Amino acid sequence: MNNLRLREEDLMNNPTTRVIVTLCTDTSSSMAAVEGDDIVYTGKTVYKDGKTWNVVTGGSTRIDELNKGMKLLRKTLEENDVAKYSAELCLVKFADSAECVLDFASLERQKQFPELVADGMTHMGEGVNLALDKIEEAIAQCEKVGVDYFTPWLVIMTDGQPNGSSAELARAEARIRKMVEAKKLIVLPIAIGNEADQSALAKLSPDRAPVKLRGLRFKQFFEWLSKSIERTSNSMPGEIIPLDTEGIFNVNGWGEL
Amino acid sequence: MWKSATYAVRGRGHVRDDVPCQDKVHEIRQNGVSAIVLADGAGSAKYSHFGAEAVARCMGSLLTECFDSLIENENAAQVREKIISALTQELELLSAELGCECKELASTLLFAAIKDERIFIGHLGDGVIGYVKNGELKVISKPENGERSNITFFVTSENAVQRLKIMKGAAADVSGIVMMSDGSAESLYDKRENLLSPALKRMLEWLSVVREGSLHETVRDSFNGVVVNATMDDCSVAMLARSEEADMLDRFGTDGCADFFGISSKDRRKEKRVKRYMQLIELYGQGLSLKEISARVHLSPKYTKRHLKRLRQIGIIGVAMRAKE
Repeated sequence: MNNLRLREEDLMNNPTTRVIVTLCTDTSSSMAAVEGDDIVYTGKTVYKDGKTWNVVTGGSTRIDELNKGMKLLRKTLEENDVAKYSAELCLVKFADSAECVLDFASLERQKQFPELVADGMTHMGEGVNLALDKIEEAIAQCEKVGVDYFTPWLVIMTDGQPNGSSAELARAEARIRKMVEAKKLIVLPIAIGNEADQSALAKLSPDRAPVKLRGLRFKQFFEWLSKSIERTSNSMPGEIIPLDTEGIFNVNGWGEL
Repeated sequence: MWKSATYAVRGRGHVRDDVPCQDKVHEIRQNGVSAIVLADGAGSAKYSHFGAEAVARCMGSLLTECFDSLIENENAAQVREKIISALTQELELLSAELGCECKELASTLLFAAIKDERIFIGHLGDGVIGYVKNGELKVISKPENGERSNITFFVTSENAVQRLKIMKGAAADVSGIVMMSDGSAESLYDKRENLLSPALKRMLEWLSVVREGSLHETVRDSFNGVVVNATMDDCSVAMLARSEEADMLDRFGTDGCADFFGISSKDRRKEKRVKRYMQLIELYGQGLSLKEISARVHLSPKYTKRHLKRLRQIGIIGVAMRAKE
């Protein structure tokens, strides 16, 4: 056999194309809402996040299921040979204010997702603007170091109505509209529970209607998100990734990435 | 004279999804023109494998039939317009035949053609084109992507005429040209440093001295075994090398020849074995019989035959080799 054949050492070392995903999630008091077949009403009520709530025992809270789902997302991505080098995740929460609780970094260097706690109002505009700032920083960094990246994703999850600054919300809507039209951003809007303002979410997602999570199926949602990230990491230029969301959402309003 | 070698292989992603290879390559020699063309069908376009094939063949014909008029026209815009117009017409005929829209036949385009020591090169979309000039491998044309790696420009794009890059020049100091699709570029082109793998220069040098077609097995095995594993995408390459009547030992040295003949670098009899192969090449070129060659090299006919078979497989036998003094 002649040794003119290419060998591993002949190959150039290009960094993996990045899949940039920002989770922008509501951690207002209403995310402490409990759902499940085993809930028991105590007869007491409490006023939080602009609404009156029944106090119950049993069930599971939205925020608990969200935390579990995010841990699962992280775990499954770390177990995928390509996605673990390709995926870059950022977590922004919004309640009384917006905060980036986990900034972009490669999975091997990044800390685990922190436990989120439900408390406060729903300053969604502020949260989305912060998430967009983070995405723009990540893009600039990729371009600076010469690393390719797929169109970034912004996952917005909320269970209520935005009650922060309307100016911030309008600014977020305008920024998203501009980026989506220029094909620089993909928005995945998720409504949690029956109180979520889907019309507000719709304004933050010009080309993809919001979908409502079935019950507390965060685990299923994050499994699907993980598979979608893995699929994108392994995709070819121009490939369309179909989104199989059956059973996770009440209405399959999404087609493909 | 220029020799060509081309290869395209379906990527792991398309094998997984049972989609045809969308990379197409074409080589043609006609009317004094030697040309290679490579077209990479758009991933999202349903019939892009047909489109890429049509673009590659049409461009090959255009280059061999209109080389002079294209290269002598100083109005680059007109030349780009003529090329895109010809390809668009071809795709419109095909789209009518298939009952689809033209955009479903989208592909990129890379080409290189040489005639009378004049080179004409073109590039639209991603993929890379390089050449060896004065012994140095350089990039002539980098990939052109949109703002993100999964977006590029195609023959069917609205601004295809503006996006098509064309270059021409003298071939005097050029000994080889190589082009590849973005799938191959994942592992054969350093995007940050804008450098091509030196292994490509090695392949071009050997292509220049061996019989055309004999490098196919090497290129095939390289791509199927190594390049295709570095990406999910289809991988393709096309090369043109200036034919040389060369003394291999002078050209590549003992170690280079040993590498080519498949002799281990640790073999203590490496030099002797290389010299024996060189002697066999010379004696074979003199038209001697197997018995006569065996006697001259002091080997049994059985082993002589085995060595000659090896040389035939590599493709050395059949090329006119100047005897070493």
